[in-house]
Amino acid sequence: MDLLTFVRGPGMQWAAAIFVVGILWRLVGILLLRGKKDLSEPRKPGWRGLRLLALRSWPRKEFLGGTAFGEIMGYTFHIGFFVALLFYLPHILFFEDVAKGLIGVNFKQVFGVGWPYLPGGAVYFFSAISVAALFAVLIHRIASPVKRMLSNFDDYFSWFVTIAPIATGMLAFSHFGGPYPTLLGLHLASVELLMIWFPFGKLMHAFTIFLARGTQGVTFERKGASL
Amino acid sequence: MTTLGDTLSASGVSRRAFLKFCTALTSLMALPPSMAPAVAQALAKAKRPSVIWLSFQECTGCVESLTRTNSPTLENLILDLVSLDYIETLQAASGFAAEEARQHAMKESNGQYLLLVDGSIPVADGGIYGTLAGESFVDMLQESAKGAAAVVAIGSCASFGGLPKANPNPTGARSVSDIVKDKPVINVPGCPPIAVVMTGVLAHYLTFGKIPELDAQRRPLAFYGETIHDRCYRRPFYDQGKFAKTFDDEGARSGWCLYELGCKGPITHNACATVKWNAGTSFPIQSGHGCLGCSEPDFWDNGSFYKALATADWGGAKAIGTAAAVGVAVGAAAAYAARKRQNRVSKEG
Amino acid sequence: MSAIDNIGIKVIEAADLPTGNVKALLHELSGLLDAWLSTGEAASIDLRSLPLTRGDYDELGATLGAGAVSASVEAIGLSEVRETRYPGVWRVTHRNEAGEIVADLLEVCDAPVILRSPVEDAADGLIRLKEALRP
Repeated sequence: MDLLTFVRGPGMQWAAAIFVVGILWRLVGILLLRGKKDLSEPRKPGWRGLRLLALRSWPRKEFLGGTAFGEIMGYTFHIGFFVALLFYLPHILFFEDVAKGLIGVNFKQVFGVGWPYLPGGAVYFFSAISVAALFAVLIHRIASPVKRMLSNFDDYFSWFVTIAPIATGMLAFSHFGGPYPTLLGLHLASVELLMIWFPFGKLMHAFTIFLARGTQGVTFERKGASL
Repeated sequence: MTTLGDTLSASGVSRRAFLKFCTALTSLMALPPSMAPAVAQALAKAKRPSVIWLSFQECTGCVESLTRTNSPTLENLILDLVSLDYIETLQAASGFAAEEARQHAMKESNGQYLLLVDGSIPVADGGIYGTLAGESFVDMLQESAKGAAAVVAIGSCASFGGLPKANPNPTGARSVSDIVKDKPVINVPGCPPIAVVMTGVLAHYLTFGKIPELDAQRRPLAFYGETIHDRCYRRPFYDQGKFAKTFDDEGARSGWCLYELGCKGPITHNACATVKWNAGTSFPIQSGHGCLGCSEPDFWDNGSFYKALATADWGGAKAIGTAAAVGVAVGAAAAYAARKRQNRVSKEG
Repeated sequence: MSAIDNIGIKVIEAADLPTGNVKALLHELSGLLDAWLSTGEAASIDLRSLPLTRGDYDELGATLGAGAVSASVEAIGLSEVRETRYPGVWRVTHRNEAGEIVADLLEVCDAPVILRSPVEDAADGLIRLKEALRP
């Protein structure tokens, strides 16, 4: 079986299954943990504390000196990545196929208009800036002695499985570096690697950030601390 | 063996007519017109080799396609360029007489005949799913390939296994190159291949006495060097993001790109977009249907013909549902174990 | 009268639109004609090796036009030879016995190969002529 047939067949099936098993394993494993019961009277009741999710989107003035670079690079990477992932037509076709299979309808059937997409060149630009941001943070990590000492396999491998799909996607789009079927096969293979690693490393922050910050915000609010 | 030049002049074909034939052949082989004199020189000296055509697990579509060739015409091919000593579908003889003719040709031209094969070869259960005149296809192929100068696998079944090899491959179908290991094999895939591509490849071998340049899948680069997408006339629509969403919608009727309707043009190597079918009449995309990818290996198992290339087989709702259930169960078990540890720790501390 | 009859049919032949390739082809012919005039080197272009649409072929025919010479050669099918409005540039269309086009060329030369009598054919003809003259 050649590469492209494999990654569009058994490879994707296994990667999707492992992705789903892993995500639910980790999330259920966290959510079912016993939390300490807080028997005190809440200073401010309810879920208003969730606004910490928005409040922590940008560092406080006092901390900007050390964190600005990471924050800016982080946003550049995430915005570039999500634009490329969600507004490029072939990706949209993939997700529509999954949606059709899981819930029976696609976006157009529900909302009347199709999910919008950008021209390929624009997506290429957004991919390029996210790759640039990833290289910037890697260099920053290796150059800083403290960060370098703190970095482990998870840090570097997660970086690799994140940059590989974006870089191979750019190569496939520009038909550069080999025959197109091989480039497309490598792109899908790198996506499947990302899906398999995702639940087991720090990439889970995609879900846990909401749990962690949300919990913290609600807890602080209960205690009457200012957010 | 007499040369082709001798045969033609003996049958009253003028030198002028021969040169015209060579010009047509040069064009067919996708060679520059300046090579026509070299083709003429080579062809005049070329011996008329014996050609044996074996048909195995096939639908006869490849032979049907070949009979639509117009350049050179099939009659030209049979009578002039080659001595087609055995081809079940077209020959007059049958039964023992036919088999004897084949054995005779193989013995006469031992080491020099060209073996053409269409159809895949079943090997499961000792090869009983394909037999002819009491012999299994596997044995027949191996025996016939022994004295061949080269083997040409015509069509996707012979080149890659084709439809019989598709999941679950109950007969154990294999390609020619899976079975013939010690002779040069040229693959001319397609379901079926374009008529003039088949004759062009044969003409090249017969004129120059050697195999044309092949790619990694042993396909002649002259015809399989580019993808359909590279030469598709609907490319401007692809680049502009104009796609037909369903068959017969406004976009489809305006001739827009068929990517969303499952066209596999970007990953399919063939000459359909330039040479086209039926003497340059049309090809699937021009007629409004996406490319099936029929000249690539395993195209039958590559997912739906009507789902975009960007989609993949992610398993289906049932598989994902099962995975979700497994994930929840493992997570619950992990949480249970963690809680037990939490209880133990808080009791101790 | 089913729902199918309500579907409007619009036939658009995208394959008929000219692509601008003819201009490039004319530039190439200009270069080849120049080379022939300076060095005597003849050349030909196989039109079927180029991605030309029906619209392109029409444009090519109209642009090259017809010159002083038009000839037909009967040799395993009809071959049409026409000099274009640019002397030295010839359009040669070879057909087989079924009338299908087997080669379509633009030749830059003093006369296309198919028009010239090959010495082998002339030698055969001489034998027949001498035979006919024998008393």
